[in-house]
Amino acid sequence: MVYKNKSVQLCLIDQKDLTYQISTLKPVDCISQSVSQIGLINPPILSPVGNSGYRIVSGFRRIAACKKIGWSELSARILPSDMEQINILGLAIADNVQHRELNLIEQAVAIEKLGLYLDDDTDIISYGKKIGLQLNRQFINRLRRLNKLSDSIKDRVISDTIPLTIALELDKLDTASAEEVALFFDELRPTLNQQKEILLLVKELARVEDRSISDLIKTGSIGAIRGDMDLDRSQKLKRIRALLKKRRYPAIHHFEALFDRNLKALELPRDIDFSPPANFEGNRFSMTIFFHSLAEFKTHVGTLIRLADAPHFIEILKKQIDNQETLY
Amino acid sequence: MTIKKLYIDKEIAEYPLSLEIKQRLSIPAETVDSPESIFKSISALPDPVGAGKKVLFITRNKGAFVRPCPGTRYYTCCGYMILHIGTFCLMDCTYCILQSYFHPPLLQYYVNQEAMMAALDDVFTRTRIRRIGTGEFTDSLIWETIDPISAKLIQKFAGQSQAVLELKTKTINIDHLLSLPHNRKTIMAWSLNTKNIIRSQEGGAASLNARLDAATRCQTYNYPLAFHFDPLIVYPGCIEEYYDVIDQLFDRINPDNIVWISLGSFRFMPDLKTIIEHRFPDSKIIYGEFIKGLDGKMRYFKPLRLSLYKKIIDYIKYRAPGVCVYFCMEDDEIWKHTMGFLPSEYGGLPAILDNAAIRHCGLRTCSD
Repeated sequence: MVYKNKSVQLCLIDQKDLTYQISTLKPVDCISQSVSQIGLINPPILSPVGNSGYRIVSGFRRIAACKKIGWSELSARILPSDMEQINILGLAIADNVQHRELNLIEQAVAIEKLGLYLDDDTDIISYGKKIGLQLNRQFINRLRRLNKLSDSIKDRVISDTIPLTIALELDKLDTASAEEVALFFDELRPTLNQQKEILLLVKELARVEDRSISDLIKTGSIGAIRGDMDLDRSQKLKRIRALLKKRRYPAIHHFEALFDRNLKALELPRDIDFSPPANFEGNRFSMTIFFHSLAEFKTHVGTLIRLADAPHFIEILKKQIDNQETLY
Repeated sequence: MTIKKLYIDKEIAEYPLSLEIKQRLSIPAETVDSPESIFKSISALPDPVGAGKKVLFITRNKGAFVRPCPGTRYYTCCGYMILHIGTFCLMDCTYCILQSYFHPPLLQYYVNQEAMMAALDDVFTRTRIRRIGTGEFTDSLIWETIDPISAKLIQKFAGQSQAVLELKTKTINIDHLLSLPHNRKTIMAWSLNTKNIIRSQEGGAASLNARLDAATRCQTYNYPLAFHFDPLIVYPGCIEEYYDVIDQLFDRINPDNIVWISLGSFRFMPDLKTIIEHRFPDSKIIYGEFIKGLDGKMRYFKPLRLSLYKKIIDYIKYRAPGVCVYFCMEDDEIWKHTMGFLPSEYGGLPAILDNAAIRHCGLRTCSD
């Protein structure tokens, strides 16, 4: 690449022109301090615009820092005026890629900007390879969907509050719901699996209850838990997850509570472990006994024999839901 | 749904039946070397399931015409045999498992019926009684305007006493079948559901009233009847509505003429959920309280099924104490808790249904 090194007046650089900006990094004071102490180690790259103006290709934060500390001019590398825009963009992306790993939003921005000059995804993949972007069709589609999300959600993707898989799910929601879910996750910081679980529950509950997701998680009992100042983040998360499951699966919740009550009423010793079939679907219950001596074994056998006539035990085996009328 | 395009497999293009269908449908037709290009173009569409209902591919059945109904070992199967006349359906029920069963889903109709008839002749010479139906991979009566296959089958079955044919439908396409000599070897069967479910989930299907009207007419012509409450769908108020369906059924149909009534609750392979969400965004049936069953299908939580079945069976038995009721794909626990007995106590479910067919349809084995 043939650059022309030149001292350029800051007033001739259009800092509002973000044509080639890829980085999502915000201006930081430490850069200003560094430039002020050591000077500009890497001169920014500029592209000439019109007779005397310049567009930033690389070095947005460095230029902002120079301006902040009161410089009126700086050294820069000037690109040839006849250089094709796609190659200027490629240079801007490559400059970022060579310094650090691009975050997802930066990659999404890069894809969107490359799409202005390249006709199809095959060209983008092949050009991306040249400038250090590892892409494939599926990833490009994901990045495009990511790019459609609001700035606040993108910020949460950058800060790792919202993983890519969740962000892509938010893309399928209405804007208000996507924003509210993102805010909710930001507040309570659930794990990825918890986010997936919560998102599925709220989507389905909203459908069942004919209301929007934002309304569901902003108002009523969920809203009240979120706003409860006496609860810490993990307590809120635990209560909300339990509440969502109870509302989404009322019969299952009701039956499990009934099972727990009956099991408790059996007063089984700690050395006898009673397990129902998974989801109560199969017919095989299991009882595991732990013992250290023949005497202990005999005691447990006596307990098991008594169980056979215990009403609570019989109730468990019947798998009947009480209060059935309310379920249908 | 209306068929918009006919594709004809080159291998059977000159079959008389192929030419008849082509003439009868009178829609754009194309002869193809293989179905791959049709499959490919349908699969690429945003709604392949909907598209597959508008395209008919007539071809040869290269597999078995008579095959066992695909059951699983975890749940009790009735030993039914499927007569494979074609695939898919013109109606558009939200819950239809065929949406995810065929890849891609496509209306296919088999014209090598001489092979089908030969397969039936083979069944008729065996000693074992068979219950055979055409309504598993398709609706039995949607093909009648294309080819009156049910009329042919009714007459075929009338000439033997080894097997019974069940025509299972949600349509009322029965007019041309009424006066046929059926010899009670064909059971006319309807899927029943509540008015609410029929209206909201069974696109293009006949109303409950129309189905019961059609059943009543078949009864007048001495056809044995069957009814299938499958899928039972849980929603607020559903029990009262199912009671209403049972009342309407027995207000019009003589229970002594019902060979069997089956019950099955909504169950589906997990990938059907996405299809229903996309194709029927207004449908809420997939948001029931499902768990993954032992066969990998999503099923209502068992205590819910137990409670639902018990109520429905009690009411059927209240209205028609002698009628044969069975479950499609449920386990012994469900049978015992709701019916009070296990199929094995009566020789197994296939034997129970064989006996019902013997009683109502006059079947007998070759050794009789």
